[in-house]
Amino acid sequence: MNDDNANTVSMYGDRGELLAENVPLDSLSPYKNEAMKNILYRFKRTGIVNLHKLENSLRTGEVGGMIGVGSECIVPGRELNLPIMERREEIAEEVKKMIEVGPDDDTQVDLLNKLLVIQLPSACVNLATDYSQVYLISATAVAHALVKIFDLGVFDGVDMIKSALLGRYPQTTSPTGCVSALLSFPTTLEGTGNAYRSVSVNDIAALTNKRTFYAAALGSVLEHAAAFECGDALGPYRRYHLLGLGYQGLNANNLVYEFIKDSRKGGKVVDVIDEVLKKALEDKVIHVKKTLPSGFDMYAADDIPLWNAYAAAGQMAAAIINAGISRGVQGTPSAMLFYNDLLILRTGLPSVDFGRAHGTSNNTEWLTHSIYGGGGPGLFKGEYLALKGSKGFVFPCICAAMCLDAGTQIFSPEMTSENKFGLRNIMPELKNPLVDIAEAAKN
Amino acid sequence: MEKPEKSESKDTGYGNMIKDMQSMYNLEKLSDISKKTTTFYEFGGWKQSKAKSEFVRSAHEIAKERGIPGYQGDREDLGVPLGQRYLAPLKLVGVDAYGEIDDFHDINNAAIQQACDDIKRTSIVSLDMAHRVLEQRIGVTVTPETINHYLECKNHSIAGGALAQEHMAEINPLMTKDSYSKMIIGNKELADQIDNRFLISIEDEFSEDQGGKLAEAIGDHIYQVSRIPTIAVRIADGGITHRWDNTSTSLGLVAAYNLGGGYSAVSDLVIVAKHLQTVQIGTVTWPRRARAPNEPGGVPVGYMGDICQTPMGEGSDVLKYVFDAGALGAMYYELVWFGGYMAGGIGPTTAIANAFTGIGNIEGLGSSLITNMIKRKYGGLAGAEPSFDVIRELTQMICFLFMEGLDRFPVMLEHLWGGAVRQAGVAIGSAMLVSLATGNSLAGVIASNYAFCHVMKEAWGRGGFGAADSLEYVMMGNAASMRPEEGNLPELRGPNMSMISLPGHIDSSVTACAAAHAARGDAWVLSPVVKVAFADPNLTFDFKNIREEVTKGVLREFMPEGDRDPIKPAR
Repeated sequence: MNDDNANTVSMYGDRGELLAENVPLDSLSPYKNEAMKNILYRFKRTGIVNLHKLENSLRTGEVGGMIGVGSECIVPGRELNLPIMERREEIAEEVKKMIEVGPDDDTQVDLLNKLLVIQLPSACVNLATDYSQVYLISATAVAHALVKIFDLGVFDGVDMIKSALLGRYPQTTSPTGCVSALLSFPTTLEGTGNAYRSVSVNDIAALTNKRTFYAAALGSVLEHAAAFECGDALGPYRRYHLLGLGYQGLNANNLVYEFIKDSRKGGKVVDVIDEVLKKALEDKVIHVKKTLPSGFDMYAADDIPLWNAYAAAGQMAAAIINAGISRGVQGTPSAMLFYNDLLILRTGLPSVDFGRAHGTSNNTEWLTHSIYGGGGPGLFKGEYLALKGSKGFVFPCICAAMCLDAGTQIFSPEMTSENKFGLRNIMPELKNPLVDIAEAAKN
Repeated sequence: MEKPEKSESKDTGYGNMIKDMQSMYNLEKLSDISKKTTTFYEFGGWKQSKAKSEFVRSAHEIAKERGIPGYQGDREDLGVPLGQRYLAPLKLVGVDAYGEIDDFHDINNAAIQQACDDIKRTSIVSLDMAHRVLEQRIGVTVTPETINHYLECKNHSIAGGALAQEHMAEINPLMTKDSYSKMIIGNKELADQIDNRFLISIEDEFSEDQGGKLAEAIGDHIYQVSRIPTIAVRIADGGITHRWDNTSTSLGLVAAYNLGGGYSAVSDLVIVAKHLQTVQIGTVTWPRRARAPNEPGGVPVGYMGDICQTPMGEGSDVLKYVFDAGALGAMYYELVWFGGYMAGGIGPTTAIANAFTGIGNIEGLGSSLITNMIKRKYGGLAGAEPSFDVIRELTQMICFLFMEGLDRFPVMLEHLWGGAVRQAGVAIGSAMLVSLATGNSLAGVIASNYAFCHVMKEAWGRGGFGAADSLEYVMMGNAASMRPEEGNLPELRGPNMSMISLPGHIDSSVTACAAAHAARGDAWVLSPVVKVAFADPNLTFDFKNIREEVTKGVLREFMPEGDRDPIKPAR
C-alpha cells in the first residue's frame, strides 16, 4: 500500500491538469474545506420565487393545483392582474430591505430573468433549526412587498397572493406555489439528515452547465455532506467517505480521468475494470491473495476504504464512458450494475460501497424502466428510494452521465431545471467547483 | 340594520321550523304552568329509541355468542352519568319520515360510508404529458381510436386483470365491479369520438350554462378519472388510490401502444401518470394526524363545493346548492374526519345530523328572505363589494335572528348539543349570507369568525365547545394574513390547518366558498376537473342528491359497494 495515497491526495481538473499537490485528505472534509462550505451554504440559504409564474397564476386564477404541468385548480372571480414583472426591480428592492438583518450583511437578492433569487443572510441561517425558511421567508417577503407596492387591502386579493406563492400550505405539508429552493422542503424527505440529497440529477447538471466533472463534483459534495450531517461519516466511515469523495467525485490523483483515457480504446465496462485492477495493483492498494488451479487470481485489499475509493472512481469512469459513447443517460444504471457485478467476479473483492452501489444501481435500473414507478434518471434525487441505498457513490455518477446525454430524455435538464442554469451567474462557487475545492484544500 | 319585512316573514319557513321544534320536543306539555308536577323529563331512557332498543337486543346475543360483554345500553350503572335526555327524532329530507341520531353515525349509515369511499377511491390524472411522451419519445401517434383501445385495456386492468405481462393472479370481477375509468374532455369534437361508455359527458350531465363554462375551462386537456374498487380503500386507505389507478394506467398504455414492459420510456409514462400529473383529491396530513393522500383531512374545502353536484350557474337554485355542499362538508369533515381521528368515533354525529334534517339547518329561514333582502340591498347576489361594513351588518342580522329564535325556545339547546350547533348555525349563516352578498369567500369566512366572537361576547358567553371558542378568536387575526401558517385562499384551506376549528369554522368555510361562487353564477368552486369527475352517473353515491342519499342510509335503503359476499360463506 502506498502511504501517500492513503492520507494525502493530489487534485486534478477535468482536463487532467494538476490543481493541488499532496493535500491532506482531511482538507476535503465538508467541515474544513472553505469552497465546499461556501457551496453548501448557498444551498441552504437560497429561495427562488418565479415572478413570471406568479404573475400568470394570479392573472388566470390558477392557484393551489397539485399537478406538475398546468393546473387542475382555477378559482373563478379571484383573478388578479398585477404587473409583477414590470415592477420586479421594486419588488426585489423591497424584499431585500425586509430580509436583511443589517445594512451590510450578506443578504443577496438577485433578479435572474423570471426569477427572484433570495439568499438569506447568515443571521437567518445561524438562527434557524432547519432550512424551511428559504421557502417561508422568501414567499412571505414577496407577499408583503406586493401588498405594499400595489397598495392592496384585505379584499383586494391578498389571499390569492399568498396561495399563488405557497399553494395550499399549510393545508398541504409542503409549499406548492411559485416559491422553490435548491433543497426540497424538509417535510418531503424520506429520513432525516438527507436534505443535501434532495437535489435532482437534472438540477445538478443545470447548475454546473452540464460540465461532466463539475456535475460529478457537485453531486459528490452534496452526497457526502449529507453523510456527515446524518451521522454516517463517523469513526471508521470518516476516512471512507473522504476517500470516496476525493477519488470518485473530485478526480483525486487524476484517477477518473486516467481510467477514462486508458479505457477509451475498448470503451467497455470491462475495460475500465481492467484499468482499475491494474492501477490498484501498481499502487499496492490490493495484492494477489490466492491463485486458483485454473490460474484465476483472487485479490485482497490491505486498505479497504482506499480500495473502495479506487473502485468508486472506476464506477464513475464506467458511467461516463457508457453515457459518452451512447450519448444517452438511460443506460447508466445498467453500466454501474454490471461494473460492480463484474468487478466482484474479476477480483473477489467487495464492489463499490460494499455492495450498496451494486444493489442501488440494480434498483435504479429497474425504476428507470419499470411500470411500477420511477422515471427517467434525471428526475431522481439522492434521497429518493432508487438512489437512497448508497450514500455518496451512485448519485454523482448519474449526474456526470446526464451531462453527456444528447437530448434523449423527455425529462431533460433543459425541461425540468431550465431556471437553474442561470444560477451559476450569481453563485461563483458553482462555476469551477473542482478548481475552487482544490485551491481551498491547499490552505 | 336591515330587517326582514313582514310580508317576507310569512313565507320564510322560519315558522315551520318553530312548528317542527314544538312538535319534536312536545312543547305543549310545558304550556300549562298551573301544574305542580311535569312528565316532561320522563322520556323512557334507552327504551324511547327504537335504534337503542335494537342495539340492546343485538348486544345480548353477541355477548352470549362470544362470551365477552360489549355494549350494555340497558345497564343503569353504565354510560350517561349526566342523565337521560330526550332523544329527538330527526325529520328527514325528501321523505315524510323521521330518523334517530344513531342512524346518522357513519358506522350505522351505509350511504355516508359510501360517499366518503367514493371520494377516497377517486383518482384523476391528466393524460396530456403521457400522450406527449408517447408521441415525442416513443414516436407513436395518439388518436381517438388509440385512446378508445387504451380505455378497454385500462378498464380491464383497473378491475384486476393481468395486462402486458404473463398470466398471473387476477381479481374476481365481482369484488371490483364498482371499478372503472372514464375520460373528461372539454373539446366537444374530441369527446364525440370517445366511446361513450368511457366518457363523463359534460354536455349530458350539466346545464348549458354550467357545462359550457366547464368545457371551456377544461379545453383541450384530457383527464382520466378512475374509481378503484371500494374494497381496496377499505383494506388499505386513500394512499392506495393513485397507485392502484396509475399502475393500471401504465399497463394500459403499454398494452394499447404495444410497448415492451421494460422499455426505457415506460418509466416516463409511469412518473407522469402516477406522480407528476396526478390530481389527488386529498394530500397527506401532518404527522400528529398523519393519514395518506385522499383521506378526508387532506381535502381542501373548495372541493366540497365541486364534489356536490347540485346544479350551479344560471337559473340554478343557489341556496339548495349551498345547503347540499354544506351538508356534504359536515358529513365528510365533522363526522368522518373529526369524529374519527379526534373523537374516536363517538360524538360529532349529533351535531352533523342536523345538516341532513328539516330542522337545525338554516334552510328553514327560507330562500325568499335571504335572496330578496340581498337583491334589494345590493342589487343582486354578489352585488356588494366585500367590506367590513357589509360583514358587520349581515353578520349581526343573522346573529340576532338566531338568538331571538333560540331564546324563544331555550329547551331547544337540548337538541343542539349543548350549544355547539347553535354556534355553528350563526357562523354558517353569516358565512353564507356574506358570501352570497359579496361573491367573496374570504369575506364569508371572516363573517363566520366574527359571528362566533360576536355572539360569545354579546350574548352566549361560550361557544359550547372549547376548541371552537379559542380558534375562532385566533381565526379573526389570521383570516387574511400573509404569515405562512395563516391566511390562504379559503377554497384551499382544510382541516389539516391546525387553526381550523371543527364545529364552526370548517363547515362555515365550505359554506362560504360554495355560496360565494354560486352567487357569482360560477360553474365550479375550485376545480372544473373535480366538478366534472363527480358528475359521473356510475358512482355508487349520487352526489346530485346528497341529503336524499343519506336519508336512504338512515332508512337502510342504500346499497353500498365493497362487500365481501363473493368470497365469504353464504349465511
